[in-house]
Amino acid sequence: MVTLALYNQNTVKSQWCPGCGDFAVIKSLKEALVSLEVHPKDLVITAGIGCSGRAFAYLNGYSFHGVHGRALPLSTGIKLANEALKVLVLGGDGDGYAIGMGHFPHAIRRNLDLTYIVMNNQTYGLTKGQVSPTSDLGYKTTTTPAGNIEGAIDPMAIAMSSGISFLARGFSGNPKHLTKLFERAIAHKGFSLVDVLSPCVTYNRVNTYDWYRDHSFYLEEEPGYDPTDRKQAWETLLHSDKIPLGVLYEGNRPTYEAQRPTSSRQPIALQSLNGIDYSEVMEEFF
Amino acid sequence: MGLITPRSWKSSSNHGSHLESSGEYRSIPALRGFQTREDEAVIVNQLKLLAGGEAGDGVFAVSDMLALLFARAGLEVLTTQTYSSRIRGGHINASVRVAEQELRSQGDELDLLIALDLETVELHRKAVREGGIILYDNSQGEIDLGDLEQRQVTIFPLPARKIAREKLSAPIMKNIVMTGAALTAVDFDPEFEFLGYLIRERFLSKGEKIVAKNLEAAAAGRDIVLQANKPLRYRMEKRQRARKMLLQGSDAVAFGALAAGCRFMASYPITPASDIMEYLVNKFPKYNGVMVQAEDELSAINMSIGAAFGGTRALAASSGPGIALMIEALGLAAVTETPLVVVDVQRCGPSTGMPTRMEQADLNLLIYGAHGEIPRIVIAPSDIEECFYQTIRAFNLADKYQCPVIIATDQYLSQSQRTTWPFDLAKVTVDRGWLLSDEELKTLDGQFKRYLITDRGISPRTIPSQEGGIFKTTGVEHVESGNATENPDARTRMMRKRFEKLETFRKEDMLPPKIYGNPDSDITVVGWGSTKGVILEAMEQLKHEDGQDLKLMQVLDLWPFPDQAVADILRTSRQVIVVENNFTGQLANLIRQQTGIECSKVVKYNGAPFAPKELYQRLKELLVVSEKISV
Repeated sequence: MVTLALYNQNTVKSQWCPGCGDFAVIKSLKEALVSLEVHPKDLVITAGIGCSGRAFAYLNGYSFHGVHGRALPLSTGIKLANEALKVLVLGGDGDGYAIGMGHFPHAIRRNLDLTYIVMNNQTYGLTKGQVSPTSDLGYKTTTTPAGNIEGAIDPMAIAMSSGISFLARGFSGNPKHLTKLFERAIAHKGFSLVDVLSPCVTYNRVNTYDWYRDHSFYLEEEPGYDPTDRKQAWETLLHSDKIPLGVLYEGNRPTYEAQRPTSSRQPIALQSLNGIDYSEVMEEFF
Repeated sequence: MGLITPRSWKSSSNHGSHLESSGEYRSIPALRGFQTREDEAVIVNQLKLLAGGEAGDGVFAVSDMLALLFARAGLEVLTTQTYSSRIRGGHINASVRVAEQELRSQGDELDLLIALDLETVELHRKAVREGGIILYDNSQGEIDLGDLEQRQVTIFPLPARKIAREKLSAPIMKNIVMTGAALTAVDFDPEFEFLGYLIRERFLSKGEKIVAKNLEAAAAGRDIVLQANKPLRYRMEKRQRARKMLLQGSDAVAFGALAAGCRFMASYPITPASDIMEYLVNKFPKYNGVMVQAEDELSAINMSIGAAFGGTRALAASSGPGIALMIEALGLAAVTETPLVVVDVQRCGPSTGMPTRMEQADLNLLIYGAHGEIPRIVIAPSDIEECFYQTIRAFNLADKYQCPVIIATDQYLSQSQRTTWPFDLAKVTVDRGWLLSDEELKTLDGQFKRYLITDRGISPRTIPSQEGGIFKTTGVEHVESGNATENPDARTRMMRKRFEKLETFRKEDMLPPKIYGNPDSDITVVGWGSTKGVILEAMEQLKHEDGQDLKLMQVLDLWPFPDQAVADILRTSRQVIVVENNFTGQLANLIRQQTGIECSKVVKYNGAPFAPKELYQRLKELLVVSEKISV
């Protein structure tokens, strides 16, 4: 049986600041995995660099904490090696939307059955408070003492325009809602992104829990909102005054693994490599 | 009537019966029986040809066809390709050297120049030897004879374009016209026994009409050469021998990867390494493998690391610029002890350099490239066989030592096709290293340590989905369980453990340099990678013309460096000459660093491989100098 206790095995003590939004992410994630009955042995957590990347050590499961910005490619290889595994990708806004942005749209359009959870705090925490690609205009940091003049990117719009299969936004201030989002994202067949607004209580004094509460609304409470309606999702992204929380879009694209040409559906990593005759292939060289 | 598949090809035995239905191309009995004058010396089965033209002309179609025909006729073949990094326009060429004895390099002067345009004649006429042949398309004008007549070069003007366009209404068939003419100019395959088979093999799927038309095109080329009624000074004859393959280095590496059980490759297109991804993408589906074209090389190597961690044998291949991007992740593979095979098809650097030209200037990058220090193994195959067998060895070493294993080839070796004996597939073994079974894990009772410190430096490994085998892996320094640490003692132990693997490799798997030539010579030529063939050919010339019988030390395992073996060989040498295609003499410098032995350097870095006569001259000059000094 899959229990919370099982997910607490093989973990180390957290290094996050008290009050960090990422605690709620891990708690909700564990609950979602328990509710979906995913056994830790069938789970691989990949993580990038940053405060959020440390999350890989705070729950049970196989895990691979790679170099900065490359958790998505790492996960692509792992998933293709063994399609039976659940692969969760954990990272932050710097890891995913700055140094790793080169992989973001490509992982989305490739559409493997991966779940990407971005703990977005709109700042750099681990390196002590520099500006991030999701920091708002005017935001003052150690590297933008006169305020951010670059403007923020919108990962949700990039995800939509890249053809994402499942797109949601959560908030660390509402862990129950977050758990539901994770359950749906993980259960979804295809690439799912949950961008979690996850306040940094040490370096971001602007985008606090209260700020997010004041500046967001729940899509579930919007009458008639249909996440399978792509047009509505785009309109909501473009025309909302506040940040929409919940499942913004849920599509039904075939996955990369379902489409790859192959003679067998056995997990690649689990097939035998012995006793295979390659003489027919060699014959092509004559 | 069906096509006989290549599998049923039996050397040069009579296999031509399937051609009988397409008889048109045989209908020139009046011209048959044309003979070379008895008193003319005829060169038999010694030929170097070069086909050239504008990119997009189908130059390589001509050279590939000729190479395959000669190989199937029981002759030895070695090809090279010279091209630019663009699709249309610009001169490209391919050489095909043919002989009865085994070939070691692309050779020197041209016996036959096949020019698909006039520029090709201008660029290569000087390289045509006295008494050689120029076959050129004169649809766009005639060439200036200059000294060609004086040098007794036989010239066959041939309006291949015009014939293809006007007579055959198929401009693309100009290449077949040229091929038919080229075969006739070297007095080979008059009945189109070999060419006819090849045409059927290639075009039967498009219908009998297309086959017949191609044969007609070939016959048109043949007829023009015969009608010119010029003495033929070359004759190519088929020979009886067991079948040999014709393949390039990249094919051997890619097929080696497949046979080694590699089932995952991620790669980003790059010249000249793309051949590997293009080969495997076609082979993988049958074997339940997958090739992913990544968005860049950063992604490609991380995908391959992920797949390897997931339990699949995985490959990443690229060329210099891509390898440079992969270096950070190479450290990740090493520190997480993930087995990974990386192929570097070296090309001229730095930066974009000369993408389609050969160089051996990545040695430093491959053995040192990393921040921090990591264990790795670097291997440089020197011929087609080694490309195959060393790739298989690389996968076994990667699994055994759980570290990156890098195969260094180059544009020349990778894109040069050579006749090669069939690989011994029975020799292929797959050794996945210390992978724990589910039963072994049960006996550990939850105490599995992924980075267990052992005498040999090698730790047990599990793959995701194994019960009791869960571990955390991270690029952060870690303890035996995989959990992160900054403890100085733990760090020291883990660094030692990782490097202990290389000591184990030295004891159990390292291959000493191979010795060729005269093992007793006190002059040693040293090479690595693709230069082996040309060094041996230059050494043969030194032996026959100068009585200098040298030895060659070919370094196969480059890292960890076989210090002791190299020092033992070189210490007894009066002179050591390192031959390599780079500016600074990277192997020579490495030998000095590792053994303290000073070497003479023969380097070349203009993008072209050494030619045998050129290398002969350069070695000879060095030998003369050293003799003068010693007097």
